[in-house]
Amino acid sequence: MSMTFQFDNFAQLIFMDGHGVFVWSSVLLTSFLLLSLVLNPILKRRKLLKKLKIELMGSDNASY
Amino acid sequence: MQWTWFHKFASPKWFYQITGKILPFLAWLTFFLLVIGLVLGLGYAPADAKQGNSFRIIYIHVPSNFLALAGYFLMAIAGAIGLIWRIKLAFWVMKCAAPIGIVFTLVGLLTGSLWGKPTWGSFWVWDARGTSMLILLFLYVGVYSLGRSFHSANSGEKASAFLAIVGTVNIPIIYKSVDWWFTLHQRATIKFTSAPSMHPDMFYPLLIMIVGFYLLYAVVLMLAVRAEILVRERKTNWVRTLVLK
Amino acid sequence: MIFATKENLFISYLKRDLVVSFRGKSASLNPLIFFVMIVLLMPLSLGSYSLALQKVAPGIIWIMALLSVLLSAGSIFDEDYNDGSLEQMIITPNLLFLPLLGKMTAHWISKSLPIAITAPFLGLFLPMPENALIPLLVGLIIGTACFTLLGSIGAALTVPTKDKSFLLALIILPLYVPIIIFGSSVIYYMADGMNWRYPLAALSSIFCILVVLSPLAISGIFRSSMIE
Repeated sequence: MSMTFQFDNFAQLIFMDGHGVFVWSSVLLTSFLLLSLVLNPILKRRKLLKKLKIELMGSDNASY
Repeated sequence: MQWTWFHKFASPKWFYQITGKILPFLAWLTFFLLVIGLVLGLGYAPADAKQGNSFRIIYIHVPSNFLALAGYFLMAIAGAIGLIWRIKLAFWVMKCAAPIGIVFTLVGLLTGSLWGKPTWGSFWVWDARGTSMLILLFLYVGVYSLGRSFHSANSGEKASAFLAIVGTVNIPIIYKSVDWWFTLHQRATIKFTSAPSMHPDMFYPLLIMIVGFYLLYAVVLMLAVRAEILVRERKTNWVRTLVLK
Repeated sequence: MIFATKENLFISYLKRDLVVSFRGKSASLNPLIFFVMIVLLMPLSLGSYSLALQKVAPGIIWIMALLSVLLSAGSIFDEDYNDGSLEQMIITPNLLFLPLLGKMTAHWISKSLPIAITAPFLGLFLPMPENALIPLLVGLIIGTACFTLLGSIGAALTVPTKDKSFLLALIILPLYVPIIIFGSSVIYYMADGMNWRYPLAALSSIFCILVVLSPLAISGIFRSSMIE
């Protein structure tokens, strides 16, 4: 299998014979949606860990 | 029969620890597969004879549709496991799978309509597949919102597990009926690119993207379930030691 | 012997619910009145050009019948839930299948069947071609039964929630898709001169599946909700 690059230059890769708008907007939209799906639980978990730490530290300090 | 191995899978602590170990590896693998697949699909695959370059949307559209449907079955199976063996982890997997499935279905629908504009001249065509995906989105939304409208999280999870199972029984009937409806009301003949006759140079990037999307789904689901585990198990000892470490 | 007691369970719940609904006459007529009024609003909003209306009339009647049945079936367990008799029913050692089927049958007879029977008369108003009225009636009789059976699953799922009408529609409407498709195409098949018994057979097979699955699903939902 020998695959060749289909476009002559960068501008053509973006333009794609007039279909570039649709191809690239769907790529961008998809990456935005899927990236938010990745980042959302990571941020949620980090925030929760921080909050729990403060809570536990606070209760530990109080007990000593 | 020994069922101890089975109950190990049901332990949130075990799940949290094991996914923590495999997630970095899995995430990098997913990342590389998606980048390679996307570069090959967008740059190297030959343009379609009839549709030109717009066909490159297939590399996102088809994998996300695969995962939208597979995700629904996964959600229903997780719900059934939760109901039958009373495993709370299975309920959490089901609960987390709903919003993920909604996003994958949305991606499939949006890319489908962006593909439809240059191909059929309109952003939305009432064809059998698009309509079925739309109904799948509604099924997901139902499961999602039912689970969040109860005071106690437990009864919400049980209710949405039942709804997911009922939906699974319905999905084949819905697909058949929509297919049938499409042939009845067919106005314009719409020609789809037939998958079997795909050129290998077109097909291999698609295969890479499908595998990549499956892995991405696994990564996203694990991340969401890990966050959910921390929320639900925050009072337990193992989470406390984990936090203070 | 056992069979006889089970049969009595079905009949007794059917009778009980029918008596209850006929005692509160006005309340059990509400779905029907809603259906009549909303269908008759259609010519006012679409204009009375009979040709355009004739084309969409079957679809309108089917969708409005769906809405009326969905709204009424959504509260099928509410009264029993509020006065505690639902709990009584669940904790008995009997299988829940027949009592539930009895309740749903009673609901269908008192609230959904009147809608199906009224529909052909409304069809005359819209107007629909006269030879389409029999397929409409037959289709709706089976279709409203399917709507009731599926809507009761939604009702069982949302029993403890508040402000349930939209939630119920949200979770049940996607499941209604095949019924609407086959039901309305009974009439479109007839209009196109094809054999309308085919979509009717599809509709009936959906009904057969639902008659078995719906009571099973609902009893599963109720039983599992009792174990906390």
